[in-house]
Amino acid sequence: MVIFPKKDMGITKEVVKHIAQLCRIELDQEELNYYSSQLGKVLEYIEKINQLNLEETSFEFNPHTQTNVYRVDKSEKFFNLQGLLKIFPERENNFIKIPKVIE
Amino acid sequence: MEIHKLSGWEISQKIKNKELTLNRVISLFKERIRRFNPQLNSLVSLFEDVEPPSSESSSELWGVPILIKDNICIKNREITCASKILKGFISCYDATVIEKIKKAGLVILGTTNMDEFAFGSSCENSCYGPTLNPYNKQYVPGGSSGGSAAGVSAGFSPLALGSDTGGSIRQPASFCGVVGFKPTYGRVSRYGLVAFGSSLDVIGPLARDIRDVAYLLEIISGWDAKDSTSSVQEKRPFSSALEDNIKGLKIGLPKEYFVAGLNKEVEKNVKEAIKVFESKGAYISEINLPHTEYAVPCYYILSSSEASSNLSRFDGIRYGARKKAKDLIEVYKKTRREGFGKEAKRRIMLGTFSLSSGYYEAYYLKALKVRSLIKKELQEVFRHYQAIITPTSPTPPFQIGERIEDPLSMYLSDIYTIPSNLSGIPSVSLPCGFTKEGLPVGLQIMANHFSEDILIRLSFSYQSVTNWHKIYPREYD
Repeated sequence: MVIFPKKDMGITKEVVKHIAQLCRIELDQEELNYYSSQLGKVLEYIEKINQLNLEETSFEFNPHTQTNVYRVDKSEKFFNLQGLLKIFPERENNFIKIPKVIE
Repeated sequence: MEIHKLSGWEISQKIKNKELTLNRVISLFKERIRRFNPQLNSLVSLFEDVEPPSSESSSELWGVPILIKDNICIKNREITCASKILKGFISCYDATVIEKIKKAGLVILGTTNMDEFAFGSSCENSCYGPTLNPYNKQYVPGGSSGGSAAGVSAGFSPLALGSDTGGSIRQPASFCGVVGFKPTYGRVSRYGLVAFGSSLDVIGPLARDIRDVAYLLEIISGWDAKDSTSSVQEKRPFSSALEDNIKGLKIGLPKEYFVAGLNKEVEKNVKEAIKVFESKGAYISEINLPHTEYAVPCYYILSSSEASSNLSRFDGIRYGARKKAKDLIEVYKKTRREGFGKEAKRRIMLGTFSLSSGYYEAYYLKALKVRSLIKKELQEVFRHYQAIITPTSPTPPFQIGERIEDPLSMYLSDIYTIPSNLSGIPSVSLPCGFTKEGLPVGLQIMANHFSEDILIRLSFSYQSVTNWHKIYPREYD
């Protein structure tokens, strides 16, 4: 578990390393330095929104209020099974092959 | 007759009147692409086996060639989002917009270059290398739909489709001297568009002539059962807004957009254009949008957060290349390391950071609130005004390589286009002049949700008395 530093300390290499682990991107030492410095500058700029008092402000996830449009929960036949199978990196006949999940 | 300079609707009419044949049109544009694309890198793939229109249709754009951004799925074609991670991905279905344009009889010539997964404003972040600006090859065409904009600009096709998450249609349109239209969020189905920021993304047309834009928008818009955020709002016949009458329309000019940091030549050209609207009877007055300066930070938190979540599906299991490794986690990490470019990695990490435990409240949640302030502020303006006019970008096109290692300065080139995405409103970028160096300048018009007709009316009115949209790059004239 990585303890995030206080915000005013900026983004450290430990934080970037932890984030890279969370989002499953391998970084070497050089890349770690590179991204730490760039993300640091971006975050410094993004901090700008903290100038605003937002306590009373409400929010929504979508740009304009609208309700979700549902369709009937009915199965439909997919017309292009072979096309779909071809997308997978590894396959055997009509099966897809994935790396072992459980040790 | 210079066919490549005709508008799409004119080409369609001439085919219908038998002044031109479909084959001649297709081979002419393909020939231009073969000849000039190696200089510009606008297309990533030219279809050798172009599909001719399957049916007769009354569409005004029947038989007209079109280019498609490399992030919109076309059945049986390779779609890569200009990313190594999707190399070899052959779509097994058509996006809804593709289904619609095929039905209307448009002819897809190929796919266009872009910033990887639409992350960028210069079309330099592509696994195919950068696209160059047709007006001056030392400059960027803008991004992320830079290939589409450069293609229309150089006369490779009268029409193209792009996608716009923070300005990705309008900014390249402005850099390449063409029209770029971002519809209202939800107006056009996103089904089959590779997701970047799902609450911001929208597909839209690029062309030189606003008439083409209106016809194409009419074809691609409408509710779609396959996109739960597509709007049930009735679609207006956008072509009926093609009239030269803007008398009495009230237009606001946001004070915060005309400030230091705005390039003098851009300012001059946009102000000249504003006089045109005034001379046609529109009322122009200054307005305030005080939260403008928070739009860019707010956008980069939200769009990166959504992107980090959307791009988690590219893990080597389902698509593209898979790296061999000792266990599953290593497969993910190696595949993503090899597959994603620098900017994609930056955005994924920034998004993961803003959504991570302990930081969610400080960044993501706050950004959502800022978004609602920006939206409210715009809606307040639209209670009194029908449109807002601004520059599309604070600067003319910048040089290749100038900003690529400085993400912040790259992000700031979208400062004027981002508020429309945050609030979901439609906007258009129109060519409105050139700098002394001969680089295009664009102006942006914004309108309220579902008021695309006002944008079309204003654009049509402007294009009926100006010629900026007809000035081709010298080398591709």
